[in-house]
Amino acid sequence: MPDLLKRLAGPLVVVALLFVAVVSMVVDRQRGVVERAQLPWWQATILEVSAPIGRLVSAPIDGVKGYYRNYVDLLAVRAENAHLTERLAEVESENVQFREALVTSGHLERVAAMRDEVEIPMLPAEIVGLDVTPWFRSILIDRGSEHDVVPGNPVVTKEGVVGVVTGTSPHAAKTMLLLDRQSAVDALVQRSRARGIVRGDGRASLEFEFFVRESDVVVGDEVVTSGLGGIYPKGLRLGRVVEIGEATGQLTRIAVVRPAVDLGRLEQVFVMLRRGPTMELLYRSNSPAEDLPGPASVSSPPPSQSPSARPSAQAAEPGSEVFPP
Amino acid sequence: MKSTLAVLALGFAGLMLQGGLARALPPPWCPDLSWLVVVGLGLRWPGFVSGFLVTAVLGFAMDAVSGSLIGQHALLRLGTYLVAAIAARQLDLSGGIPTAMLTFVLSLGYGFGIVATRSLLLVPEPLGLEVFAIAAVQAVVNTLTAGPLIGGVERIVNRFADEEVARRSGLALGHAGRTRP
Repeated sequence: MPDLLKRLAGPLVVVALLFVAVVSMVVDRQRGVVERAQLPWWQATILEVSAPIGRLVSAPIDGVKGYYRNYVDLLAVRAENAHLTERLAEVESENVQFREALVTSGHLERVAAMRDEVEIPMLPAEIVGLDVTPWFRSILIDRGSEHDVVPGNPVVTKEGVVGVVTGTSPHAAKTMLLLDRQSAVDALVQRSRARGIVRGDGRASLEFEFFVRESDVVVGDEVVTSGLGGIYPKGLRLGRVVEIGEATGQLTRIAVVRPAVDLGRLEQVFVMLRRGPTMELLYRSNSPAEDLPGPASVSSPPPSQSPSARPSAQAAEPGSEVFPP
Repeated sequence: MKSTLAVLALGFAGLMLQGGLARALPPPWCPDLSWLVVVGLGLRWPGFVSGFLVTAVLGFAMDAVSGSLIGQHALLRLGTYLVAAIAARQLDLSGGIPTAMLTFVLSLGYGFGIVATRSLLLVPEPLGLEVFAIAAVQAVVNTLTAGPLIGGVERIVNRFADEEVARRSGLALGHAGRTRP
């Protein structure tokens, strides 16, 4: 009997480990992003160890990249300065018009009253690691549950959406990028309000799937989050339509969207510690038919509150985008 | 035991290093260092079951830092180890070229394995030319960097095997010395 056990030990270990791996996959599949609590201790420990080592390894790499980038950026700074000055004048002019529109519609008081609720605490975080396999697009950031980061928190930059936190340890968090094939965001076209789903294609661009009928999507349209889906607030920039696929006779059509954020050059990001109504709501009148024209997105409000600010109890529930009374 | 800990340390070092390295060499241009340690284990590790256990630990560790499902890398790394170990016992893989060829094929298979399991459990996607191209690029990168990692595993095996032999032979000589008249 002991001889038999000894002979079977090897195959039993092999089968048991393969079984554990398969069961782990199936169990992990059942869990949604926002349903994940803090990672189990062993995963958290690995993340905790990985984050500082990743930062150590990437520091010289970032240094060299930053030096080169600064040099390249310097070359274009004069032209960019002229362009920005021109753009600033345009934006200031638009701003005056919007304020005027707000005053006449009585919304300015509402803007002031909602200001505290609108501002979402933003926690700056650094990227300390990237997924090494080309099949998954995720990053490791150096902020975790000790900083109030929880799975489901959106991660953004000033250009737009980066992704969503999928797991946290005390001082690190795993973030799934928009480009990941598992990523799907309810979105709308800023100009025409056409709705659809933005999915990662696993490489460098996004796919915007929208209904063919009654949808108006053209190349160059800005695609923003719709606020539905319970993770991203409304009006965050996702990207710009660069190509529209041929209709295949189905109900939906797919447009190729270039992400607003250059996800290959990420260095610093902001974690939105809670979601809430965005500025876009403020430009809407009580009747949907009387929507005011206006900037429909707040790409990323500046980190105006303390990074350690706790999510407010008054924060809007995920998915609820309701006007205050 | 020492050799097991040493090879685990090598695998973890690779895992930590590759996350930071990917900042400079974005995938698929970044080698999967901890996977290469698994290939080295399959090819050079003397104990089949202990190698399998080390592979499982490294696989789950990879799952912890990757965007994969927990168990996905572990399963495929166990598969890689099994194939490498069987190949090492059946074929003559002592030269550099056969080892490089096997690494290339295993890496290619690993890429397809990831896409297949993801298709099965998460998002359906075709196993087309595009997948092949990405997998092939990473297979080339992995093959080019395989030498030092597989060599590292081999050195660990040799180093601790020598110590073990010396320890055992020392005991035997001492015993013989005492019993001789």
